Amino acid sequence: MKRFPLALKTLRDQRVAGTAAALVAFLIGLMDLLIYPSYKKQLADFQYPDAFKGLIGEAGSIASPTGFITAEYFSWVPLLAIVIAIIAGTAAIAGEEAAGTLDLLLSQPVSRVRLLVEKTAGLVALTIAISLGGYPAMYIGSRFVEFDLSQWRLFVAVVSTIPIALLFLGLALWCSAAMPSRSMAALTAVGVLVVTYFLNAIGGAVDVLSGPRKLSPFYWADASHVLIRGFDWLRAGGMLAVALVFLLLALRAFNRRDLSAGGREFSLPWRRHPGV
Amino acid sequence: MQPEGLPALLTSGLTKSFGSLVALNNLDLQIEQGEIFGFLGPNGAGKSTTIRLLLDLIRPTAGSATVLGFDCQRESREVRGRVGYLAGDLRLYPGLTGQETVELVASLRTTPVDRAYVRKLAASLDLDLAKHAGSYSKGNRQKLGVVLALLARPPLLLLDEPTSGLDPIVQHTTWDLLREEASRGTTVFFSSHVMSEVEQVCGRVGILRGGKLVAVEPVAALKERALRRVEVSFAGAAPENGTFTMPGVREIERHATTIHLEVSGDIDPLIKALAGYHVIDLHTEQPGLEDILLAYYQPDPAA
Repeated sequence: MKRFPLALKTLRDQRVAGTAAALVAFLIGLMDLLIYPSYKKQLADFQYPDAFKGLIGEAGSIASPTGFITAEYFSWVPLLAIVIAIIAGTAAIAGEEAAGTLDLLLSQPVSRVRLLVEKTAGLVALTIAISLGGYPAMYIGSRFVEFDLSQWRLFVAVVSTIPIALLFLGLALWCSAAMPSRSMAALTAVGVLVVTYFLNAIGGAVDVLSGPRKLSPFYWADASHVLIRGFDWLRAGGMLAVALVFLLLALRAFNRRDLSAGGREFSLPWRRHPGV
Repeated sequence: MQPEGLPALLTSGLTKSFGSLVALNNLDLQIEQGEIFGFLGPNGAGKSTTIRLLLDLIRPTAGSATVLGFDCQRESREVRGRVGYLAGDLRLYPGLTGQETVELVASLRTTPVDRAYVRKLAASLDLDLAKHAGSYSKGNRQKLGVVLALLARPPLLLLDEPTSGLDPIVQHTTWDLLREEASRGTTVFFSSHVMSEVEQVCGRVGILRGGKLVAVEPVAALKERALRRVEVSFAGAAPENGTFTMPGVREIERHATTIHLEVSGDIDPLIKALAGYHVIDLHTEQPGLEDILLAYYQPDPAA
């Protein structure tokens, strides 16, 4: 008998999307390292707009290895892991509920807490695997080109992208557990992702947004900060704590509500009707 | 082995509302261990709501329910460990084969699953477990649902329209499987709106209408209380109107030499009343349970 059948099934369900996302991260990481030597000369004279500053964080110059890898890799590749986390997180409960398969699982002697915790465990493993997908490429790439950044700092910077991905996974799970429609859950989580991403990116150049910018998790997940100063336990811990709060909210919401019999993809929460 | 003396299923004032809609209203029901109980009602009567409440998939607005002494809300995991469930609109994972689906469900059960029994079930239903569930016809999905409900041989089966979509041969096989399980002491509770199915399998039925339980009776008693149509042909002109007015007898149609009557209960008083006339033909017709059900399903004029 399998020990964690629901966690394993969750991983199996997402294996194609997860492998594809990790492969993309790997290829982008490899390409970034390999093109850097020829690209850095052009970038030295590059006059980038103020709005671009948010994407290179504390690095100062995009021509430096830190600025280059922050802008070319860390400013958007972690979004892949986040997007997959949102897709898989909303599928975990709301997706299964809409498909009607949640009944098959929850009519067995499985508590809702166990179901959600096992699925979360599977999704955490998936998110970590995608987040780390780019590092082997950076390691391989640095064997062939001169890239003046320590392997340890690069590795730590890649690791530092995990907490924000888990934060959005937690948000997606909360939406998924609280809303009976996957579309609505995904729309909410993606909405938060888009708003907070641009709040941080634009906030770097617009004074009036410099305060609200700190509400964005992307502000605290700045890879250039880690590349320059090392792993920031406080920032990572803060994001993991928020992820945990989201998970607890998801458990609470999921444990309290009626489950619909499935078959509906979109419904508004105030028009829920779990079936007679 | 289940504790003796406890009802397999007991509900008390079980009520479920969705906003202003009362889907199930104050259900009091007791089903003993080893019974095969049919839960009848038209679509929307509250049959699936009752089953989903018992499985804690939805929570009651009022009242309570127990399965073999375990509270369906507070001890829902224990309840589900003792229940095999077949959903009315069963959804499966299209990417899993029948066998993989069996393994997934088996891995979630608290009691070991006998794979030889699963193979026997699949063979008796003529179900190929090697195929993907996504390629199954409606009938094959339903067959897999029957296998999944039975595989852990639980003491209570909650089946929501179990033979829906099955061809007549497989329907009979399924009924045989249910009878076989009942003979081992398994309680079978299944919803249906097909009376012939209930006649085949059930000892007792409950009839739901608009969320209310309107009758709980042995199938035999239900048939006995049924209205019987009687057509009497006389040698001459039919006796005048009102001749056969008596308790349980109602005249519904008359022609020159023929009267059509509706009789509920004992037919003997009518036969004795007819003895004084020259009757040349007497034809009685026992209504099917469908007709009885239809009478129950009519909207309550007092409501």
